[in-house]
Amino acid sequence: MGALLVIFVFAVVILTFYLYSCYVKVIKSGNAVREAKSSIDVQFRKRYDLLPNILTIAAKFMTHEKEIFTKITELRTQALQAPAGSQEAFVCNQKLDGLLGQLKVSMENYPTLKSDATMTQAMKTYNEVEEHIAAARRFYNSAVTQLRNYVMIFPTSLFKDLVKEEMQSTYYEIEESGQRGAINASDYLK
Amino acid sequence: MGNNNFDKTNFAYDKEAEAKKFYGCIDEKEQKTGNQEETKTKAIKNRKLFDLTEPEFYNYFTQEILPKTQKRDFKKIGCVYTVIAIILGFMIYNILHGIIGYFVMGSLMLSSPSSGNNNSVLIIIIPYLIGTLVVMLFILSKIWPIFKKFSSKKAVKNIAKKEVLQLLGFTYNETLRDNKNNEFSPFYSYSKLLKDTFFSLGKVPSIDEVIEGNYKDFSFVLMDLADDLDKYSHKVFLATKINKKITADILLRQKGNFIVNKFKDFLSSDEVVNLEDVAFCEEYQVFSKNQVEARFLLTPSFMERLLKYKKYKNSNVEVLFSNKNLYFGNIFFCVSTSKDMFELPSGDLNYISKNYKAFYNILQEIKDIMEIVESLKLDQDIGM
Repeated sequence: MGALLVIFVFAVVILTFYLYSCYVKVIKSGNAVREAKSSIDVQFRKRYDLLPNILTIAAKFMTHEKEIFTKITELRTQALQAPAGSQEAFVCNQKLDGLLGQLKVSMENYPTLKSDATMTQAMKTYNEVEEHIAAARRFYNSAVTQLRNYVMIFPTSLFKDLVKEEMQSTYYEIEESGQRGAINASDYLK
Repeated sequence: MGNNNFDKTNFAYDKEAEAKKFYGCIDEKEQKTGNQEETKTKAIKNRKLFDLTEPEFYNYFTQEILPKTQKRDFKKIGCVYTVIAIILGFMIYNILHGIIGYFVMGSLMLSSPSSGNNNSVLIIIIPYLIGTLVVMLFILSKIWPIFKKFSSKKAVKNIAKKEVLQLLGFTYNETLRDNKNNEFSPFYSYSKLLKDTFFSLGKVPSIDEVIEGNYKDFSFVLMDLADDLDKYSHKVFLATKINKKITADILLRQKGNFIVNKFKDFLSSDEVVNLEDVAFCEEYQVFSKNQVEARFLLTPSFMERLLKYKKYKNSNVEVLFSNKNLYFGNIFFCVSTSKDMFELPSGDLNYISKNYKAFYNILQEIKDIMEIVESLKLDQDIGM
């Protein structure tokens, strides 16, 4: 009887520890998603700060691209006004990605702009910021995957209610009409 | 606000200047100074050196290196042997002087009627002989290490290596085993780094020899690591500087078995970075305090290149990106090799110094290790 009691107590202790470690894992991954989201915001903030500089330099040379500048400025304002980490901010930034891609392509038609020293430096910084944004998105997607795995697989799924809010997070994907669209080579060979 | 911008501009300029200094890129202003000219010449000379074929290297070696080496060798050897000859001559002179003195004084005392026995002679002579012997032993103890340095095989090799590599444009430091605990040694930080990162679980090997120099546009410090217990495991530590801002430490460690991996996870103060490349994750464990920075540096193409390099060289490669400049560099590699690197064949100093092939092999070994910089495209100003 005594031995059975000892085994029972031992099993309960082990089980408690195991469940506690599952709880810790789920909470940690929920926090990782939040952290990843905020790190994307930090990187976006860098982008917003840099955009006016690029647009000011580019506007001097690109006289026929007023429309794209206006759209970028509008989206930047919208993204800045949207609550950090919100779905609205995500959508704005996805659209911004597409437009900035278009802007970069348009710049190819202006050799004087490309060779401008200030623009070269600004583009270098911009590329670095974009690389950081890409890194932050990879971190976010990785954190979301891990959280989803925990929430879907037993026994960590027992604690899924603790991370309900984080579970609403979707994967960061590139905009369908923007970067993912098929490239028309003839546009570049004019 | 304006002040802020001014600071930022200055900071950017300093960074650029620092990078230029490291990579040997010289602009018009800098060309005015003789020091920079020297760096440029050295970089060009160095770039060519690694591209030489064996016959070309032979020509270069016989024309440029050998004449300077021979002079140095004879001068050094002559100096050491002169010192030894003087000391030995002085010893023999003193002992003979003592013995002759003993007999001369003995005979003088015997011929003198007032003298007792020759015990009084011994009282004077014996302390003199003992004193001479003690002084000589003391002097010998001082010159013995110098003699040993010039007589041991390894020491002779190191002298040859130091002289020839210096003439080839590198800096060579022999064993650092003695001063690895010296906090003022620039290599102390490296010993500490090895202990804290690549060898946090096992015994930290000693830094056996150090070669500093330039490979193409990259300054580097290469260290041969010697494990006293395991003679068959060879590792080389490489420190170099890349033109990327690194804001957090990122460590890439080779995966071991399950328990070792878990143990490494447990011991590390940094977070584990789970990357999306399955093949890469099977080979490496990544630790960093900054998840975004880790992904910024470890792009999918970088991971692919590292795996390719590892497969091609068939060796274990561990990497540390550091936000600190430890004496030199911000990226560190620990590469396992199949043989003991930077070794020379045995022989006398003159023979070794003339052995162009051995030095050509050392250059090839340096090139072999430094290829990692090109393979991982660290030399290009692009995203990794």
